[in-house]
Amino acid sequence: MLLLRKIIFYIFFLIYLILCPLIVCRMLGFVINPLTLRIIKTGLVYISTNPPDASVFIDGRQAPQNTPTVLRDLSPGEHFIRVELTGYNDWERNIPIVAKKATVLDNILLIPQVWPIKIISSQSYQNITVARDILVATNPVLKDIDIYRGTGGGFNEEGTYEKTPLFTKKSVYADGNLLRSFNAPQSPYLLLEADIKDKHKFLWVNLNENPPIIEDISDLFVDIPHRIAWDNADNENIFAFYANNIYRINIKDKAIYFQSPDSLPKGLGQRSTEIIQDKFLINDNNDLLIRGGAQIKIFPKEDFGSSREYDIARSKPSTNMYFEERNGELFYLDNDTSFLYAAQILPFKPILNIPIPDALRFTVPKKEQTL
Amino acid sequence: MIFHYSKENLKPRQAKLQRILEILPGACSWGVLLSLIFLSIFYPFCAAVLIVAFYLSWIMRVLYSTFFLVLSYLQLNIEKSTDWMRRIHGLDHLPDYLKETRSKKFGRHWRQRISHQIHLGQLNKINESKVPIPASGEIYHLVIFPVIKEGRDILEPAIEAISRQNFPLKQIVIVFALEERALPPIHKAVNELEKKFKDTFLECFTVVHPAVVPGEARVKGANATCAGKHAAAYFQKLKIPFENVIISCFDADTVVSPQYFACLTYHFMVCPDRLRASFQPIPVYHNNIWNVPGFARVVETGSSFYQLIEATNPEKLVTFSSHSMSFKALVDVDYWPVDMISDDSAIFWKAYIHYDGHYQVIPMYVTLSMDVASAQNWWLTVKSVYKQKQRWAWGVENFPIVMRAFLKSKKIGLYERLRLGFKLFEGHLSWATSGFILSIIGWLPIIFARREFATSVVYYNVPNITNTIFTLGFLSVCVTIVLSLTILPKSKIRYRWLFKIGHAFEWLMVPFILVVFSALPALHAQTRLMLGRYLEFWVTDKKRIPLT
Repeated sequence: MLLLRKIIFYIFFLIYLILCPLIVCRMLGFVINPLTLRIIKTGLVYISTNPPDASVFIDGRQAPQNTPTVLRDLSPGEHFIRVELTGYNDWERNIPIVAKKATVLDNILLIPQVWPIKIISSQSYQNITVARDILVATNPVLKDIDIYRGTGGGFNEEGTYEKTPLFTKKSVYADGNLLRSFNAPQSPYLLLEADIKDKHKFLWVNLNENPPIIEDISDLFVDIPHRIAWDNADNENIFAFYANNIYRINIKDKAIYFQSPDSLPKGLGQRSTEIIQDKFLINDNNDLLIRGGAQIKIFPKEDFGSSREYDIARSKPSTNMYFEERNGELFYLDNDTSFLYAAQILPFKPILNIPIPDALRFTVPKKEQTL
Repeated sequence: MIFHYSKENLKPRQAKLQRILEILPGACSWGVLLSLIFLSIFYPFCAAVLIVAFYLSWIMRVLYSTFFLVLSYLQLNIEKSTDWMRRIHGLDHLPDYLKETRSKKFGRHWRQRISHQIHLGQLNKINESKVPIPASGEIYHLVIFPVIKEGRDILEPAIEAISRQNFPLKQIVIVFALEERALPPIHKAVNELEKKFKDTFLECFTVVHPAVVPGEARVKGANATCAGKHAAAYFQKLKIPFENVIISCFDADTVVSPQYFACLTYHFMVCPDRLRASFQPIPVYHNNIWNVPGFARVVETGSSFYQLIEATNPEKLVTFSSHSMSFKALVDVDYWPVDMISDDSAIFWKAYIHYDGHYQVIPMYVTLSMDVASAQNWWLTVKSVYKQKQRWAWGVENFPIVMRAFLKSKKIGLYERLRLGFKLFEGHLSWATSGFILSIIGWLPIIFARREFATSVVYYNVPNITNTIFTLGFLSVCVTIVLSLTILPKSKIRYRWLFKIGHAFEWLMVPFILVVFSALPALHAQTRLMLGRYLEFWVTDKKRIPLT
């Protein structure tokens, strides 16, 4: 037994001595090229799709596993990747592979070849807003605004739809003209700005109730704001954005408060986004740049803004920052440190951190400064 | 070598060395864990490489151990039906018996054939050594039961198991080593048992260990030593040479198998260096195995399997729990340490050092059964099992003393000292760290991954490699489950097959058990030793529930 134990021990020890460096090298992305017998550095691609279980082809060869999957041992350089799923359009792209790096194609949205279309109305509308599971179809005249509530499966194929006008013909608002409508994602409330008998009105609509409760809150607006927003988790407060001020309006208490821009609720989180969205839709692909918390993220348009987040820079959450994009590079000014930061929009490039030369210092527009 | 096997009463220089060596295991364990956490957060690439290398060594060790677990289990099964008494009688007439054994083809079954081959090898070895074998009729067994809080319900089954031995009972002496500080009902129970079994064995008597003895700690070794000294006087009185006495120091709940003393006598007789040897049976924890929570069942079955694996490596085997040894050796080394908790392993090291490395542990493929630590409720059982494991892990207290002896010794070869020293140190280090690395720290590089690491191939390859390793590890768990189902005793309850299926699923708790009942108590014990907060002896709770 003792001799056997020694023999087995040395066999296992030998296996370990051979396997350990091989596995560690493999883990680090080193593989031996069987043709040249030389060690090469490789990269990999992680692919996941929505919906999952799609076949993946890399340079024409099918990957052994369907999505989500990791394609390993890829030589550096461009590789052609095609994703196929029955009933969906193929997704194909040339993807650059970098040695020892992972390229992440997370949650690729596959577009159905045929959309399951169900006509729920043949009536024409000027605009459609979604408030949770309720469709609000608007027309210039208030009495022509309809709401559609999904029943028995919502807006799925099996569901049915109940159409009701928002305003009855006897309503005092029925003949008013709709100027603008506001809502927040996932919020069951709607704010309608309308001209009713030559009076500028703001109507707060609670779609949670059936029929909806409509409340005239025009008195709470000192002027016509250029934007109105609210946090979907807060049912009481809305924010009215004016040229020089932001006001918080408490619907329940019918009170107006001055709101400092820096203390806007986190959930609202739209101020920076809006600024960027308004002024800096960057690069030719219309990729979206968003500042969220202490990070600046790029949401490539191709993934419908839900994935491939690249943190390209970090800043303190409370500092005001001003952005400008030049030739595929993003420049931004941190006014706390008076440093000009530059970040390449392309992923995986490190941020440059250089003091701002006087010649490059750019003027921040006053309007933005106030905000 | 004359060596003071204790941490007490040392010269200043030795005391300083002792303290440094006490700090070493705990410091290294903490160093390994904290370094890996630090690397995981700040140098995840480096941590990932180290962790994968560790995982790989761990799986190799697991597969290697599983292989020997299966072999050892087979040998245990093979020897189950061996007639040890017949072999003992054969040894009394070795030349004739050897001829007969050589010429005879034993058994048709492969088990009998293997057993026969092993037996023949042992006969050849003792024959070639020319060492005279004591007659089996002149060999006596001394069995010491240290008692402090174990009642009659625990002690009586242990004595009854000895009374059912196929070895002559008139060659067995039972000694109850009773602590003076034990409660009156315990004194009463021991007196009753002494009366009951007095005529069954050659002798059955009680030695009361005084509550306070200068130079002694409140440990089991002190109690057993006191009983051992009284027993020595008894044997001297009867003019029975110590060379012919085998001492077995059993926990009070030890229930031996009917062949235990015959098997022990056989191994004693065939061992050429029998006076410098301990005899280690396979401890199993079957007395109350079906009455304890599932996690405790898995923990103790794991302990039995560990001993089965260790049994295949006599070169590194150290005595554990209930075991037996030559009484002559015990007297020569001046009995058990009276100030150490881990008396079971300490007595091996003490003898090994005393005889300058000429001391060995002979594995015996015979079981003795003990109680799983158990208390009134689930939570108290958790605490009880934890404390028991911490006490076992307190065996690390031997490390500084053994190392001091190794540094001083000139007669034990350097290679031997390095080999055993490394085994002792590495054993405790991996005991305290493996569970944490496998269950928690191994995931930290992924959890704390920052952008640079999260976009590297390593980030995606590490889970892939670890999954493969853990899948292989699961194969080993499956083998362990099968063995545990076959080794466990039949429960006297209805629907026992349901219990067995349940037990198979209990093995899924292994990652939790590795941390809570292995790594954590070991790290706790090492930390206490490192900080000089020495452990007090704590008697494990044992509870028996009548089976319904």
